[in-house]
Amino acid sequence: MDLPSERLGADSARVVLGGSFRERLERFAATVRASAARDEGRAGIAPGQGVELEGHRPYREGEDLRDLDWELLARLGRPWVRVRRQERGERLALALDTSASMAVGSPSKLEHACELAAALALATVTGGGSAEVFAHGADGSVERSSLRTRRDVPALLEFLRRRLARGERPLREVLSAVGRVRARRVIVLGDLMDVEPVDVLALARRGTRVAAVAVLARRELAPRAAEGVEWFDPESGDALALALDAATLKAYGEALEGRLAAWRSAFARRGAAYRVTAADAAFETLAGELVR
Amino acid sequence: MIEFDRPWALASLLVPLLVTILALQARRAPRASTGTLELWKQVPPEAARAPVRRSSPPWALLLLVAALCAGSLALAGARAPAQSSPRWIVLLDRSPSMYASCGGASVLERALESLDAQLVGAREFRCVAGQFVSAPEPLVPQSWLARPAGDWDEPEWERLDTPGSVWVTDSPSKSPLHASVLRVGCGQSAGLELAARKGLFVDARLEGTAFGQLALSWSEARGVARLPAPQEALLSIVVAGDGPSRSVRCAGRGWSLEGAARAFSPVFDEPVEVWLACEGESVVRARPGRIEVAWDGAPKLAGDDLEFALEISRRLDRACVASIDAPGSGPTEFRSGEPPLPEAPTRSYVPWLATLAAALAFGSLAARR
Repeated sequence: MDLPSERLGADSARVVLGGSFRERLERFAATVRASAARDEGRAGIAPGQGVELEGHRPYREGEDLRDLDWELLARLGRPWVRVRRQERGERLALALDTSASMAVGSPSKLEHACELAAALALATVTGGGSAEVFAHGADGSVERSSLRTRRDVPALLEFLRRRLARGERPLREVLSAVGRVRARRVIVLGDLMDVEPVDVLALARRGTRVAAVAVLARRELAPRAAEGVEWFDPESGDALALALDAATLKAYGEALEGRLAAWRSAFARRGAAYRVTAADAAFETLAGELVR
Repeated sequence: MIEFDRPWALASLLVPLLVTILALQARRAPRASTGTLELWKQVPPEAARAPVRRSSPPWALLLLVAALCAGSLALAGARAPAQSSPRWIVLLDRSPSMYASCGGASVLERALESLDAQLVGAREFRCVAGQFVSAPEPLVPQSWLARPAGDWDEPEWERLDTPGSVWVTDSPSKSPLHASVLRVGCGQSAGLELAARKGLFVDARLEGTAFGQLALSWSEARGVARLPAPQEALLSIVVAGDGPSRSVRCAGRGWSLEGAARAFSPVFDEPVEVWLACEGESVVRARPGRIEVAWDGAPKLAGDDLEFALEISRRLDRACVASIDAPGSGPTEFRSGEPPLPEAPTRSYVPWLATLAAALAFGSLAARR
């Protein structure tokens, strides 16, 4: 019977960002740039202007109710939200979780979170803004790397490659550091297992929009039936041996969905975005959605 | 205990060990890290507490490992160990003279005491007195200590003229080639005489003949000393034959001999092996400790003389040399204090193990299906 860890490969605490990642990143940035130029041409928006309306789309559960177009709701009887284009010159703060549990998966959750961080930062700079990435360093302190121009990309990638998923690196410490800067937008990247929605939403002050991305390994999102698996928490060291039969998987699925729903609901109530992604997914899709 | 012909092959036991380790590792519940252990703990307690289910015992693996072990042992040449104590065969003379009184005991009893003392540690005997009787303990049946009723038949000494045999007698009528002799008698100290005769005696009349020259060359090559008299010789090659001389011709593989020969007298009291027969008459024959040649003068050897030499040499080897390749010992000598012992019987387990390994391997294959 297939076993999740064997099927997906070994965990890795290191960040590689190798292979064709740099090319994919450049292509993603070019796409963002082309999209922005197209939007500017269509709307005649000059750089430096505030958040602009791009259009409408159907409401999805958990979305910021402040974006709900009440007039359309009254007229059409269905909820539509206003889609706004990213503000020019905005300052983005990215909080990166590097706790030991981020090593889970192949590629690891940390690898995917770093890919997203690099893509979001580069997209922000492409749009005329600046980005800062906050994460724990090797000595346990919270470090940051700033991206103000495209020339800073190599330094950012090097910063990301030095991240190691190990030990108990409380995400709250990173959130605390992020809270001390004046960012128009904050995106938290991690498995979000050691924090609660309120910890992240505390950053959503006036003038600051918050988004959270829960990066989960495929074996966490959809474990498959197996004769037996000893689940191991790399942070606490606890282990739990279970037979992954249909009943157990169903119960786990319900527990996971319950947790994700709680986050989704909490963020929706505050008009913040909350996304869940698999560690082995392509970063372009979610990053593209977040930068819009 | 088990002994091995090729103990280095026991290293192959690492293979089943490795197979076992790898298989058990594969069977162990895989360890997978997760950041969501709390969620797994939320599954219903009955599921969480349920032990990881195992399938039925890994019969295929067990059979495979057993087959590999059996194969390894077979490869190493497993066998039962040699018996720790040497096995002696005692040929006991129960002629009337052996029951003569000698200081309150019979000569035979004295002989058995002496034998027992001299063969300390060698307690496993097969005693023979005219017939083969197994009597490991005590040394001889109690009934043998009494004079046998009826006529006494001379033991067939030649049947046990082998290494590891001891002839116990007060008057040996034969001289053994390979057996040891415990010569006993009242008033003289009994002592175990190892087969001490050695060397080769060649009748001077054969020196000019092809057969004589060949025998001397053989003795030189084998390191067998040539003795001047037949009494001390392990093997004597003598001219015999007392019939009328007549011209004969015989041939072997590529060679032929032609010359005058006399007929042998018939022999009834000991085994005789004909080595060479010409026109139906034997001209060279072997008796215990003695090779007799019937040639009258020097026969003419023609053809492949090397083949002839090899054939005769092989026969001489068989006649005199029990273990010609035994290192450290001369072919026809017994070292002092080391009477030749029979090889302790051993039993090889290899066929049994090989069969078992094959059966287990088939069983393993069947279990996999």
